[in-house]
Amino acid sequence: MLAILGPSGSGKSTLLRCMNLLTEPDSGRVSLDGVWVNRPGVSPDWVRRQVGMVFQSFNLFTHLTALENISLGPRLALRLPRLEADRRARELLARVGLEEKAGAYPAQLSGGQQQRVAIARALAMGPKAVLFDEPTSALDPEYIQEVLDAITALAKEGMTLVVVTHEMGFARNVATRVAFMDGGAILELAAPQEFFTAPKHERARAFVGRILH
Amino acid sequence: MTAESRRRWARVDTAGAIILTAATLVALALLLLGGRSIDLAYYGRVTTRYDRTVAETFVRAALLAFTATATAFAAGLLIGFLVGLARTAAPRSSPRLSSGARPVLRFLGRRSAGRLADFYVELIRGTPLLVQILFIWSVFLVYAPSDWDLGTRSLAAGVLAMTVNTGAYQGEIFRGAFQAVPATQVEAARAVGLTRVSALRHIVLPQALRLAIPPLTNEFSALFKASSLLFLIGVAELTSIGTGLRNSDNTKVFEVFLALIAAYLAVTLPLGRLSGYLERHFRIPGLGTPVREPLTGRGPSRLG
Repeated sequence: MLAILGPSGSGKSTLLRCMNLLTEPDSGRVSLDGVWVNRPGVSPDWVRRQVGMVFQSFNLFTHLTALENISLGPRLALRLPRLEADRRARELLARVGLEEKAGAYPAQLSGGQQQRVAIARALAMGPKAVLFDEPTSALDPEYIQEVLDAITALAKEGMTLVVVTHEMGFARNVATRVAFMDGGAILELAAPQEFFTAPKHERARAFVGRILH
Repeated sequence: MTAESRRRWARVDTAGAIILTAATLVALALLLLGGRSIDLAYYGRVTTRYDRTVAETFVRAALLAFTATATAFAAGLLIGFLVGLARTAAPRSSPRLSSGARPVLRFLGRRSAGRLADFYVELIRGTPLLVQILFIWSVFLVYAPSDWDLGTRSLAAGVLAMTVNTGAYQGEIFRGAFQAVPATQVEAARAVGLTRVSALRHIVLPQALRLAIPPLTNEFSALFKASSLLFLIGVAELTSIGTGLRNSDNTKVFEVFLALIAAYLAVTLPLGRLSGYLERHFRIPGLGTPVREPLTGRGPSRLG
């Protein structure tokens, strides 16, 4: 798991959105499994089917149940039969601890539950990597831990995750690498222990200093 | 406000409603029956006896008005949908959401389609329906194929004018509905690999159509009432038959117009109910405020 840290407006979300081509990069290469994907001739849809995304404000489809939210992508983009897609969606709901909420609509779920459904939705496509854009920033404090736990579980399974976050304890304990961004550039890329104890870049030092005190 | 004072005001409210209803009924009765009375036998006569054709003509006129409205409305749905789509900008938060390196031409196409739709809507909404009807009718009178008789020309022109008119208004309804669906919904759909078309069909449309139900039923109602204008180009719809009946017997003004009003209300009143029913039926659980039950027939008495 890579954690992307940095002050607001430093380009963390933009970088993340470039990774699944929701925002088209102006320059640079995006590679997926060694394949250069942000070039003409590669369909962004094909890329997005392999890279899941979880948004800050969940963005669940409001008119669909939790189950349908998860099975829609596989049914339409992967052309799975409904029964198969629903069966897999149920498994994923169980994995995020929400099997009894299959028939609930997003507006009937708490923020934490919605975000866990959103994680299941991202996993449903069988992605090679999952991107998280500040997954806990819109949550009431009491729901933050359940979402972080769900992400931690994925990281423990060895799944490739990229998480933009302001949860420093989480980044420090779960991430394998930390990227620090400011002013639209990655200023430091390091192991979490190293980054939090001895940041090299001057602005990273200031940032770590501010949050640890 | 305490429970006690709320109850007191509820009683005042009920009393007010009863007084208002009674006063309205008395005023109506005085207005209609002052000096004369409604000749109820008239209705019996025209439905059963020597001038039975009168009633038949009336019913046929009602059906014609309804069919013309339904036809124009259905065609207007298609126009409105496309116009609404053309006038809806690409999702704001990420204009290049769909991209890849799409040819510039397509972007231009989107722009000019939008411009064309803007022009159409402004033109139609900025001019009187009657002028539109008369204009298209005049064109049909002069340029329609020579084997069309006058009645066909008038009806075709009338329905076409209504179609063009409602298409613009429905375009605005659809535009509003599309824009009310957050761009983030589309973004989430694209993020799970849905194509632009799939996202529109499975994510935007179901949400937008729900929002469009009340204004669309309202538009149908308005269009049905506007169909009375076809009277002026000689289409044998309700209003024209109604006024014709009055001309044939000047003593039956109230009887004829009562029937006319009833015929319009018979369509427009149930439409409001239909809209409410559809809204409740398609409501997304847990979202928004519940739609109020209709005024009549509410409350526990119906359940108990």
